[in-house]
Amino acid sequence: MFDFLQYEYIQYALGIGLALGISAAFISPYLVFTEQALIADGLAHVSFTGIIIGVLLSSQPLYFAIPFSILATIFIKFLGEVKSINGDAAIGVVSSSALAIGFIIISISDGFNRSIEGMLVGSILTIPKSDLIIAYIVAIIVIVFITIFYRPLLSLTFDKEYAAFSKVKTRILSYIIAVLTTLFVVIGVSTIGILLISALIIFPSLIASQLSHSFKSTLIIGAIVSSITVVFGIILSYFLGTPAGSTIVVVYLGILLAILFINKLKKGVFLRKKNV
Amino acid sequence: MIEFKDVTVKYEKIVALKNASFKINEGDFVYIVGPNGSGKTTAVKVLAGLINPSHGKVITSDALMGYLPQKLNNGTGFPISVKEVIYSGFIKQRIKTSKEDDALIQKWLDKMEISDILNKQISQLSGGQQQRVYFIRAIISDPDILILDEPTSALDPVFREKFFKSLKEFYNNGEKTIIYVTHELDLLEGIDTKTLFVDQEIKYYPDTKEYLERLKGETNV
Repeated sequence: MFDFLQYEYIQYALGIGLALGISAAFISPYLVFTEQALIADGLAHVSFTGIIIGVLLSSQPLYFAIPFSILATIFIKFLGEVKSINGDAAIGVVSSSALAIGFIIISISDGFNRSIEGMLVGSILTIPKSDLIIAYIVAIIVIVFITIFYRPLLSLTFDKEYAAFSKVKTRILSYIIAVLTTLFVVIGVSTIGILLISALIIFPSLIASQLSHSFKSTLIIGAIVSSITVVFGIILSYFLGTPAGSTIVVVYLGILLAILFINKLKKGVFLRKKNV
Repeated sequence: MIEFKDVTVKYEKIVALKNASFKINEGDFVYIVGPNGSGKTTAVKVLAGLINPSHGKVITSDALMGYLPQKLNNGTGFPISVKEVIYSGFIKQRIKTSKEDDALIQKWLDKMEISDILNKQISQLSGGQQQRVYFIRAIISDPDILILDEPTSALDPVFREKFFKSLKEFYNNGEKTIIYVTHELDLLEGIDTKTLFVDQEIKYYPDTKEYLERLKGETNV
C-alpha cells in the first residue's frame, strides 16, 4: 500500500508539503486574527510575475521571484501606511498591477514556455530538489523567528495599541511577518498554485481556534492539523489522480465543516442539559 | 514626573486638546475629568506615548508605566486566554511563564475575585470580568505610574468599592503615581487628590475638593 513512498517525486512532494504546511500554520494566526488573511492572495499574484521574470532570466526562477516579491510586499506595507489608502486597497493596487505586468510580459516574450495552468493550480509532483531545500530553510526561519518573538507578536496581534504602549517594535515586526509570508507564498505558488496558496494560510488558525482557548494552543494545534492535512491531501491526490493543491484545500474544508458541525452539536446538547 | 508644555492635539482639522500645560509629580493621585468627547482619552494617550502632539512638548521621566485603556479588546474571534492577556503586561516576557509570575497573576486574580478564570478564553467573560483582567494586566509589572481610563465603567457597585480599596493599597499614600480618567468622580476617602478638568483646554485644580465646590456652584446657578 505504501509502495508509492519509494518514488523520489512523492518524497519531495511530501517533504515540501510538510515544510509549507508548518510555515503556513506558524504565520497563519498573525494574519488571520488581524484580518490580513487575503494578503497571501495578493502576494500570490505578485509572485506570479516574479516567477515569470525569473523563468525568463534564469534556470532558477526563485532567485528572481523572491527579491521581486519582497520588494512588492514592502511597497504594499508602505502604501497601506499612507493615510488616504487602506490596507486592502494597497494589496489590490499592487497585486492587480503585478498580475497585469506579468501577463503583458508573457504576451510579448517568445521564450516563455511554462504552463500558465500549472502555475494557477501548482505542480507539487514536479518540484526540483533545490525548491525543497529552500522550503525547509524558509520553514526554519519562520519557526525560529516566531518562537523568539512569540510574546511581542502575540501582543501585536491581539492588541496593537497596548503593544505600542509596551514599546513593542510593532512596525518592524509587522514588516518581518509580511516578508516571511512572501517567502512562503513564492515557494508555495509553484507547488500549491496561485489560486489556492491563501487557503494554506487561512485554514490552520480557523480550524485550530475552534478547538482551543489560548493562542499558544491555537499555534500548536494549527501546526499539527496543517501537517496532517497536507500529507494526507498529497497521498489522497496520488490515489485519486486529482491535483494535490486542490485536494489539500478540500480536505481542509472537510475538517473545518466537521469541527463546526460537532461544536454545534455539543452546544445543542449542552443547552438541552441546561434546560432540563 | 510628567509635564505637558503647551500641548495641542489635532485630528485632521478637529482640535481634541488645546494648549494644555500642567505638571504631574511623583506620588500624585490625579483625576482627569470632563464631559464626553472633551479630550480626556486624548490627553491620556499623549501621556502614555501613544499619540504625538501636533504642537508642544511632553516631558516624561523613565518611570515604568501601567495602562488600562478605555476601549478593551473583548477578544471576539480571537483565541486568547486570560493568562496570556495578563502576561502581556509583564516587562520581561519569557516563552514559558515562571512559577513566580504564575503565583503573582493568581494573587491578583484572587484579589479581583475572579480566581478560577485563568485558563478561560477572554471572550467568554462578562464585561466586568474583562475589565478586572485588563486592570491586572496594567498593574502586574508593579508600575511607578498607573494610568486608568474609566476603570470602573463595567464594574457593579459592590465590587467597585473593593476595587477602590485595592487601588488605595496600591497607591500606598503616594508611593505610586495614579492618573485616573473618569466622567463620574468617585472620590477616594483619605487620599489627597488633584484634578485636571479637560474640555479641549485644561484647567488644573491642586485639590479635587476645590473642583467639586466649583462644580457645585455652577450647578446651583
